[in-house]
Amino acid sequence: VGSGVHGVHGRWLQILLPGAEAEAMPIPEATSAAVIGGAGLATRLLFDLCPPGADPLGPENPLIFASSPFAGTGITTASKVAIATRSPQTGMIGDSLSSSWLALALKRTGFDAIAITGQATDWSLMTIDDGQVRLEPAADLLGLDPSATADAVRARLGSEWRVAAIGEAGERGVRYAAIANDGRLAGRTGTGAVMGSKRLKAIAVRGSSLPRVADAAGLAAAARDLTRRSLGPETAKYRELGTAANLAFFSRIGILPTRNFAAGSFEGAEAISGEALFAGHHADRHACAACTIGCEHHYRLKGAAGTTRLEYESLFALGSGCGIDDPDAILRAAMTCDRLGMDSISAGGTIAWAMECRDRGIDLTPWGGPAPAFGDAPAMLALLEEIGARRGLGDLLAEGSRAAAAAVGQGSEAWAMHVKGLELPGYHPGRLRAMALGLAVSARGACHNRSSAYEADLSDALDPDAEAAVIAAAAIAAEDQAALMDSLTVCKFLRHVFDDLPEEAATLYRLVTGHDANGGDLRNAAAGIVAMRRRFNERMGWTPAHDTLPPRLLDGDAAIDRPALDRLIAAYERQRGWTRQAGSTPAA
Amino acid sequence: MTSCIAAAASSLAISSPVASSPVTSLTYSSHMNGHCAEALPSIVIECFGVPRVLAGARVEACGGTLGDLAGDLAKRAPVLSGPVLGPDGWVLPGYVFVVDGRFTRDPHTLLGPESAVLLVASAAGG
Repeated sequence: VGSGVHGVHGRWLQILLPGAEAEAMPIPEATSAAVIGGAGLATRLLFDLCPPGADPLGPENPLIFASSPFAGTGITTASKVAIATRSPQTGMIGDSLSSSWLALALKRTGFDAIAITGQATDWSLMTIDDGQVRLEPAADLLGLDPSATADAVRARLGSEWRVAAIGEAGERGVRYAAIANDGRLAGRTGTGAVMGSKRLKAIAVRGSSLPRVADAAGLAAAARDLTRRSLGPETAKYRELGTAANLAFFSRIGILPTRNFAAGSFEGAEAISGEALFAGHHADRHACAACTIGCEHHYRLKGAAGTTRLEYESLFALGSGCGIDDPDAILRAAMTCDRLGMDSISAGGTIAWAMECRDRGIDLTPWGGPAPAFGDAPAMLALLEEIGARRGLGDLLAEGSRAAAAAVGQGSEAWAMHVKGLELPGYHPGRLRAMALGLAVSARGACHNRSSAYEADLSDALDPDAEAAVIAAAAIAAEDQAALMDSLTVCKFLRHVFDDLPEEAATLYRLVTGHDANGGDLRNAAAGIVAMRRRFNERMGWTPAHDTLPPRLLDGDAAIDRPALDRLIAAYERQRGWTRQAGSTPAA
Repeated sequence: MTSCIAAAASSLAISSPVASSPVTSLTYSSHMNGHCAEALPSIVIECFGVPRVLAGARVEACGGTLGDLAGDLAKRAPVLSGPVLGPDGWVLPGYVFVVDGRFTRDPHTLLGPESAVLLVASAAGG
């Protein structure tokens, strides 16, 4: 450890391809405290390492994996790894988190983060063994899905290795390809395409070095208390039914994106609801490493062996978003996305854009079409395969809805449902003002995990008719809370377990690191991480025009029109202390 | 971990949550054979998530305020007591009502015969 701080190693590992030269780099104590870890640390390294104008799929774009002080300490749900890079989908910051054993293995390498730049000469397997880096040929792994890739790597190296891998989508540069580990995906913003561009089919990690914590006995007691609380009614939804429980309720209150966000309720919602899936398809439940919630529910498919996981976001994107009410088809589609290694939200959102093109009489045959109609489940399933293989119309849709609409034109940009190139998640923001603002200003693009302001909209804490300043404050609080949790790498499904997240997190942070930090310090650090993301985006070409919503959500009879959104953004920037001008965001 | 759904399912057939789910119709002598006392509105509570799996898509109960309604719900759908409703008959911290489109945990919320009342988990993450 390069400092007196506990809970971290105080250094990161720089890896340069094609030679896989590795060098340990220090993380000063002050930096460690300022960025916390996880998403904050990954963002800081990206900010330092990614040059302006770097081609996201070029050698200069770094691919960063970061651990956190909490990982490996016994704090429930904290076994997460944060990944950051310049997104090939948005051109802005791309970051994504994934849970489970890989995060623990990464923490044991003796480094708080690894950053990979350059490109391998041939398809390779990278091994990181207690900081020793090697490349091995991986041609035999090409074409395998992420899970089969991990199995093959562990069969070759040993079961103590943990593996991050890409599927066919990452190999072929689908711009929303994901990195997978332990059956989970770092799903959003195309991190898998970046890994594929470096010709890394898989990264295997093994280690034996965990940093000491500052107060082991105190931490053990605090961690036990948090574990006990994690089993209470605040997390029952996730434990009992999983995130799929959102769907029927969202449809009932009019916020379930349906047919490419043309509506907020779906007539087929009952058939594909979480409750119906539980009754008719439920198989079992899984938990990530070191998690006591266990939110991952698996379902049986009729006429197919095995089971598949299904989250609400996949359920909406591949279901109501595409007008599909066949639960088996949706389960099969979710399984296909996992097998190909790609983000189901962007895949479904881009297919929904193509379906609307067909509805509006735009012939996509010149791009390999025709597009399927809304509700055509077999065609959607076939199209997912085409996207993964970049074949036929799938080659266009592999670029995402923004780029596809730009290529096709004919006004189709109007129904490309994205912010900054990232397809919208499953919260129709037409009636959710804080969420609408959060989606518009989020540095990552339209994302429910970086701006979970829907929690404020869907609660008794926020008057839906409140003035702009109140809505902006709620959006900022949600954004900062997400930055804090992603940097501590604790699961957001814990958020209702805390009475005062920053203060309680600060207690845990002190016990782990020995840093004399309080809740205010963590709040300030989180706000600084949000500002750093924006400054990174400014460097990559962000302008105020990027902070908006798709026209469909602002025009006509939309609940939030453009002037109203502008007022919300102005209030947001005023409270952040920013001005709406590129290059003006101050370092926090 | 003990699943409240699994535990309840051993004594309760899990209802299939379809739009045509019949209203849970339980009768208790203390509630005038299922009818509401005079001047108390009868309200169909639409349940979602765990409450729905346990008690069905819709449960009819009586109450002039949300607190009274929740208390009556506990008697009419006792399977909710423990996983969703506390010993005092009020919803546990993980749950919230939506009354006429407004999220609320205020037991003093006034209800009328036309009130639309939903019961759902307060965590909306997905």
